[in-house]
Amino acid sequence: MSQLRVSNISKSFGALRVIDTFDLNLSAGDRHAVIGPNGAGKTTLFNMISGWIPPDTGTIEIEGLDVTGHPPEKITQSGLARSFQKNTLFDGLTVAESLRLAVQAHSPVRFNFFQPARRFGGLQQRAHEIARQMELEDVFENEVRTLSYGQKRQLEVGLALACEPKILLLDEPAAGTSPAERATLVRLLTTLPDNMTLLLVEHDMDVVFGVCTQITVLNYGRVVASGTPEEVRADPEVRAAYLGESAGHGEA
Amino acid sequence: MQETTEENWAASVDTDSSRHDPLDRTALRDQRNFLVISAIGLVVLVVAPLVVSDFYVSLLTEILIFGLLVSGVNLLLGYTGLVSLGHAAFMGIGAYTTAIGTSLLDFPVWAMMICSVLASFLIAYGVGILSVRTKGVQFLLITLAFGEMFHAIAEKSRVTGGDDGMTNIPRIDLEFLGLDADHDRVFYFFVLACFVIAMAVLRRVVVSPFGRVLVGIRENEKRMLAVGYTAFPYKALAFAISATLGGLAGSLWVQHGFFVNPHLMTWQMSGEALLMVIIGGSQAFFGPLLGAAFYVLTKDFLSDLTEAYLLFFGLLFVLVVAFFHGGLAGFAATLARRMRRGSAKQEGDQ
Amino acid sequence: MTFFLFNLLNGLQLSMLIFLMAIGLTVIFGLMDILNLAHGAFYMIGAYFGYVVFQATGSFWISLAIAPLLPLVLGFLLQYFVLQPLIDRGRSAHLDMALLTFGLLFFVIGLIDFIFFETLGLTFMSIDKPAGLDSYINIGTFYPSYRLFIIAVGFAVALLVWVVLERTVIGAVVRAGVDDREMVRAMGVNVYFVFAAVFALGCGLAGLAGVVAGAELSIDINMGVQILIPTLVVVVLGGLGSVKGCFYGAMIVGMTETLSQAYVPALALFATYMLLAAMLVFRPQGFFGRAPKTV
Ligand SMILES: Nc1ncnc2c1ncn2[C@@H]1O[C@H](COP(=O)(O)OP(=O)(O)O)[C@@H](O)[C@H]1O
Ligand SMILES: [Mg+2]
Repeated sequence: MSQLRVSNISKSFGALRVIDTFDLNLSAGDRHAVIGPNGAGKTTLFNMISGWIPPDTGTIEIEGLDVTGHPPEKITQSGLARSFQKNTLFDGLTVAESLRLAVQAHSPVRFNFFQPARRFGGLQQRAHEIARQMELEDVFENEVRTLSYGQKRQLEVGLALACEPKILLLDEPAAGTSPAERATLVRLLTTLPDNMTLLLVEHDMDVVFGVCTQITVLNYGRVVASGTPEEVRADPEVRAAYLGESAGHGEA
Repeated sequence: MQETTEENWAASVDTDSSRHDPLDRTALRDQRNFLVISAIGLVVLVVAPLVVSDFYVSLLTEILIFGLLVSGVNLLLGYTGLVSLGHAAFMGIGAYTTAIGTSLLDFPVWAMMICSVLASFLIAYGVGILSVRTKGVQFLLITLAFGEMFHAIAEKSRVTGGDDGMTNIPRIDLEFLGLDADHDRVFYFFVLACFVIAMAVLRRVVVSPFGRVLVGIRENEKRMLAVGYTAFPYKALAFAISATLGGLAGSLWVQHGFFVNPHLMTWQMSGEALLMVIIGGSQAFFGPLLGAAFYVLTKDFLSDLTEAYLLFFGLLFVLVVAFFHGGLAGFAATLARRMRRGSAKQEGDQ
Repeated sequence: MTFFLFNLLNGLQLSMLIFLMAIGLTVIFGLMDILNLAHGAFYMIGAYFGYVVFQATGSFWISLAIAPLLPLVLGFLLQYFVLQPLIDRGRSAHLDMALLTFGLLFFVIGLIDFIFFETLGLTFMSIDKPAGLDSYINIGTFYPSYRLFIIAVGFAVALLVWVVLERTVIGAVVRAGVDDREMVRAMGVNVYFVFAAVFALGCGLAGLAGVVAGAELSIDINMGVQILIPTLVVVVLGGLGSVKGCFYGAMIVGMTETLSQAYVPALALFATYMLLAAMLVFRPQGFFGRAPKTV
């Protein structure tokens, strides 16, 4: 059964058609990347899928359930979590507090308003596990605003992971990170649970090719090509529009 | 063979969990500090009225009552990041509920105190549902408008004496304890008891999972939605709880002064509540109480010199917002930290 | 019928007074993201300084011409030398600025109280209406000519604001800035100067409203707060930052207050707030405000 089905969605801002009749169908455990130049509409696509902006046309289904027009928190509750391209963090909290909040959102204690939160050790433990996974253990008790940019990107991913989603959407998680951090990210993404579905937007081709088995190429809101990494790499239109450039640099 | 693997596995989990202590040390440290400060504060609040003159007992009572109001305001301002300019209205609702029930309907004061708390909670919940749909500046303006609306009702209402308000409101009857609350010292201790109970409840709320959600909303509401919280009910409940403290404060206020008038509900009053929170320190649990103490005592001191005390408070407010975000509590914490570091250094030198 | 006309004009008069206040507030918010709660203070400064000038010269017209200059200059200094540097130092603009200007309002009220009441012993003052505007005009009913003057001033300012915003370069910059702050920053004009100039003009208009009101209503310590509340309601109703919304909002509030007072006095104080609550439920961003941008 398809886990995430995006049918025929479009979005225009004024006269600008940012996403043009886009379709996507993911089954549980898929590793799918959306690539394309800046301004292609990738973030807008994510915003529509995760409920931040309503699509002009089309529908979005999660596990057969129509969630088109649901607000972001409802979508997350339906099992889809995302990270943001632009860091959206709790700057004044510690890493521990941030992750705990994300874990707590999916625990029944979230409505408890009369017992000290520190009694619920499970939250803290789970937060710590995620911090370890994201290699944020050393800065676990540090304030988010004091983290390095790369660490902030990792926390951004960690917060989405802490929601224990069935479908994970990551918007350029490697942007601005060091090669070492990127390697960590690839390791993490390749060890995600088998049944977790991943939809990834990323410019770094090592990350994309290292993690994903399916790629969709977007340009000016349209799908230019889609298929396995080999097929996409071989596609002449893609080479011209997008990969051509970076491949050229790579060979030079 | 199979067994040993399993044993190894169990052992590795064990060492793992001891290495990654699930204890939340920050929260524990915070709780310890809270208990120490509360104990010291309580001793001061119990001893102080026994050694100062009657006039200062009355001022201390005022400090506690305002302390209740502004601790409530701070649940919104400091914890949730919402600035309300209409909270005096809930103090007024508490005050008028007690005044109407006791002096017009002859209900006992204790019953009306409970009604005051319930009334402010319910009305604030309704107002909260409407106002927390907005945030930031819009929220500030909406709460201001609602506050003014209740103020207008109080001014217009003829049964409650309109602009003149109501007088001869009785105080709580403590005869079953053999005490007479008309004595200011006795009444002070009654207010202190209410204050301690209310602050204990507020403290539970603040450190609960619910309280942590409020802090998350303050830090980044968008991210809270993204990780799956429906922020709306949390904010509405926070608004109601915060106003309930105001309602209790109002109920005690009419008993303290034996009267109430609509002036209690003006937005100046709401503004002065914000002033106390900001000056005291919005990031600390007892910051607002410090602010209330500073406000009441300074205002008393200044009003000997001039009625234009707003001149001073306005300027102080501006300076605190611009330069000292922690307020008095933040200042005290910095000082304490520096002293601790200083003494630690001295020990190291020896 | 004449009673209705009378009230309609009264409503228009109040609308215009509120409009003079609200226009500055809303443009300042739209452009700089500052909710200037001290706007009520500039209104008071205009009125009190107007009174001083009037006492010194005996002329309403000189007072009207000179008094708004003080809030204008003070507004410029406040924005250029206090608020903007604080914003640049990383004070989150929004709420801190609202709180800061709120403290400033208290400060100015206290200062005026100290000077005029405690030192000079003055409480309720007023500026004499000028000759020619101090009587009644027969327009089917006898109507105070000064109130017609207030209406005229309001419309003149509205027209002037419209012309400046729509037809001049500075207007284009301001309009672009309200639409998209980042864009103005990127345009390379001396943004801080434009900000301070707009802030100053807004405060000057508030001061103008103060002088004008000083000859019709009384000049007292509560006047700033009294006008600030309906002004804020207007700004919220119209949508923060919306000039058109501000004009219609002022009309709605002025008319609602006056007509409810005339026809359903029991509702008078609540009508506006009920309007506000209703709008909140259906259109939290105001009648002319845009839905906030997400993501
Ligand atoms: N809220 C918005 N309003 C108007 N235009 C927008 C908005 N969001 C994105 N756009 C435009 O849509 C296009 C696609 O943007 P985006 O989805 O962020 O691209 P990508 O993530 O692929 O770089 C860009 O031209 C951008 O300027
Ligand atoms: Mg993008």
